[in-house]
Amino acid sequence: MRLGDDHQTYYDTLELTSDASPQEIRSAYLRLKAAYGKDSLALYSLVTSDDTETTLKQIEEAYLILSHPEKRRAYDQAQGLAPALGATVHSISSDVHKVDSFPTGASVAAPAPRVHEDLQARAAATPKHDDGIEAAIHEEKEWTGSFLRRVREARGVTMDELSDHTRITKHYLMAIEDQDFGKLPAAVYLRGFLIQIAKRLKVPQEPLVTLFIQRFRTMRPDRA
Amino acid sequence: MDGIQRAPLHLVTDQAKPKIWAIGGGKGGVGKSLIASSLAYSVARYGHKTVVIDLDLGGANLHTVLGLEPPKKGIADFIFDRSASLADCVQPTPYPNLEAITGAHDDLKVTKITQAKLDLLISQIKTLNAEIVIIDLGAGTSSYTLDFFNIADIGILAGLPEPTSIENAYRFIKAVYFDRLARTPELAAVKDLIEATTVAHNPYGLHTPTDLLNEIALRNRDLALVMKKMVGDFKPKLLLNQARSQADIDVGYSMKAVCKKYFGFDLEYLGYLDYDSSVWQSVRRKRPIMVEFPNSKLSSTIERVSNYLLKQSRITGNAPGR
Repeated sequence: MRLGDDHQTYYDTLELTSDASPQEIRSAYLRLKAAYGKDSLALYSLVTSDDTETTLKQIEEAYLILSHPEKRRAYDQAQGLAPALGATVHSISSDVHKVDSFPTGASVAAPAPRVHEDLQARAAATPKHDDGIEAAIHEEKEWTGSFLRRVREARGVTMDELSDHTRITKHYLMAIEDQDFGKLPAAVYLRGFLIQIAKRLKVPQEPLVTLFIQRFRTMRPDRA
Repeated sequence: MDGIQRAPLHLVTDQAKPKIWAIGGGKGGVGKSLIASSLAYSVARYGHKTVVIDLDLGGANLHTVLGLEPPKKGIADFIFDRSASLADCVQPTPYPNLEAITGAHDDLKVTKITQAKLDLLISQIKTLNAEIVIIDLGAGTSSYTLDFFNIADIGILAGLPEPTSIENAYRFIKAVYFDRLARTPELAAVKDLIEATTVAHNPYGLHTPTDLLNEIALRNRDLALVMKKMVGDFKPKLLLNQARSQADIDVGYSMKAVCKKYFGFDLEYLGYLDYDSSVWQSVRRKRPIMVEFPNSKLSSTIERVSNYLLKQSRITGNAPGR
């Protein structure tokens, strides 16, 4: 784990950004495996063997996913990360957004500062159409799909905009708002979607993610 | 309009002050003097006025590496008040643009230096008439060594790809790291935690920087962010010496990865100096390696590194002089 990062992606583990090429992933993996290998001098006197083992496991796990194109794509989507730059665009479903609508530059290359953007975005949140929405968000206890729809509409965000911004297909966004749990993917991916939606709609992630996924797990124990 | 363009004040003062590069590394015999003198020689050859200072107070030998006669004046004269000004201790060298303040070869008690004297030394170094000041810090983790590494514009860790050297390098870097945090005024409220982490069996059970950060976060999240920022701003550099194999060279990359994860900072791996026995013989001849072996791989590495560090210090390069 990087110093104090609560949320660490597989890219963080391999010290890469989400636009890393397969070659970069491979060489980062080999480099880190060497750094944490049994005979690595660089660990001497600093890192305990228990910590080394944990780290090696994290490195293996990250590589297992990121070295596999399908698994990587699913992971990226769940995390709300852009696909590798220059990578072929594979349509998972027909309404996946075109690659040119992805944000480019710093926001893609540096996933780390997202927390700050989120804080800023939240600070800058101003009610537009529904004056009572901030109070409603503050008091919301259930965090249902229909409440998300109310927030979205209050913020003046269309379904298309939300889809463009979060890079989540409209199919899934509608299923979330309708709480149509049968159309939603496994909990691990759903979690990533909810985090992205929370960011765009400037609502706190915590109660939304926990409560929504709780409901999802009750309704779809097979997907939890 | 008087027609005179003036640079903003901060640029003027910035330009007037020399950039300080400090070479440390915890262990003796890893080539600090050699690296300091070679970098200084190389930078001076690029036409930048350079002063190299031997602060290896207990085991000074920079003058030997540079092939200087035992100098009339040195750092000891300043420390023992025989010279009021550090500038008076600056000695010429046979090389253009390069001057030196040599070490305390004749004063055995010089390793004891008061904080007041240290502060004065630091402030006078900043007023030396030079573009670059390169300091050979010597071995160990005494407080003046840590001070200089922390006030330097660029701190370079020198080490060998050997367990003893790596152990001491980490000990040094740990000491610098916690010293840096302990001196951050914004972190004064958690100074007890910072200092506890440096003690093996502390009541808080803190061992690693991550432990410390988590503990600080429990007390005050904002202070944890301050610590993260301080750590992120710390960018020491690593130069490995006497690399004999690819495995030796890779030790630098591994140390970089381990430091990122353990401490949270970027240790920049500047490169490695090949082990070259013929080149190391030049020390015996008491001549700078770059003078004796200008075409060796070691010289070209030093040249590349010094060029890079000049750019980092935002000093634009001239063509190398003779």
